[in-house]
Amino acid sequence: MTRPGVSGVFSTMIEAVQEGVAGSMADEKPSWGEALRAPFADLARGDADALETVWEVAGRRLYALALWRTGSPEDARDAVQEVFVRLASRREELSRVSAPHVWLLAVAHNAAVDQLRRRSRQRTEPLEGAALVEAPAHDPGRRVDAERLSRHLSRLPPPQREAVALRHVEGCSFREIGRITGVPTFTAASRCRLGLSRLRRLMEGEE
Amino acid sequence: MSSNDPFEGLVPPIAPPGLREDALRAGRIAVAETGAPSPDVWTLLLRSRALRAAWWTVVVALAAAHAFLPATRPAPVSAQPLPAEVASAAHVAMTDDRTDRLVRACGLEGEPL
Repeated sequence: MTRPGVSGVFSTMIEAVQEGVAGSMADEKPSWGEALRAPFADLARGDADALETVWEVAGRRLYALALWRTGSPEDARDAVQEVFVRLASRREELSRVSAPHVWLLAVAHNAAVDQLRRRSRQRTEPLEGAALVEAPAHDPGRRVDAERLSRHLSRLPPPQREAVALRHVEGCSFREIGRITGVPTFTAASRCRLGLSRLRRLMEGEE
Repeated sequence: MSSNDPFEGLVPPIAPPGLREDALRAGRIAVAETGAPSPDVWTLLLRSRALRAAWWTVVVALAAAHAFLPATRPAPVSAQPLPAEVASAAHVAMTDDRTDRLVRACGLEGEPL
């Protein structure tokens, strides 16, 4: 694996610190997490119908995160089902959650990691060909780009792939990525930088 | 993000058909299995008829005791006068003690008074 140079480490640190300062000074932006507050409150009271709203708001994102982490549609499918089981069984916590989208993505991350751990005993070879990103419906001309990027993404180590996708597809901050994946902000920033740089090299045909 | 972002304009993958139904079914089963969330201690206290009855019994008993039990206290022992018999015995003992000391001081020990 390529090790980061000193300048790379410093720029990652500066980037992470700058984002941290900006994040602490800026007002909280409204996010899709706000749309989860009401179904979380309903679910905490035992209303199972709230699960449908959670799916409408976050289902696609949960599947995407599980897919980025596991690299396998089959495992991602199992992980998403596990997320809904955990969501229902831990619903007493939901009324106390400060950032619902981060909490939910963290549950998805943990479910995907558990799924990967279970499957690693049966299968070790990486799966390629899964659509890790897609072209928007209004722009089918980018389908080739999406397939090419998916193919290269599948060659990244899972932690880097997950961090890069969370950053560049979901638009998460380094701090949020750190909270979702359970690592310090600096580590999240470092994974993003390393993953993106490796992805660029793969796309340029250097590897 | 830079302008040469390879992800620009791309979106997350769509969930496969059937996953929504499977996930919701799994979640509903988990909700049914876990039952209602367990209430905290104060909610339990408020909800339980037996605990509320016990609480009110204690409150009423304390109030009744405060209202009906007498507030007088027994007088201190030192303020009570000694019975006459005890007082005279004590006086004799004190006299004897003084006599002995007087005899010793005058060097009259062994002499008939």
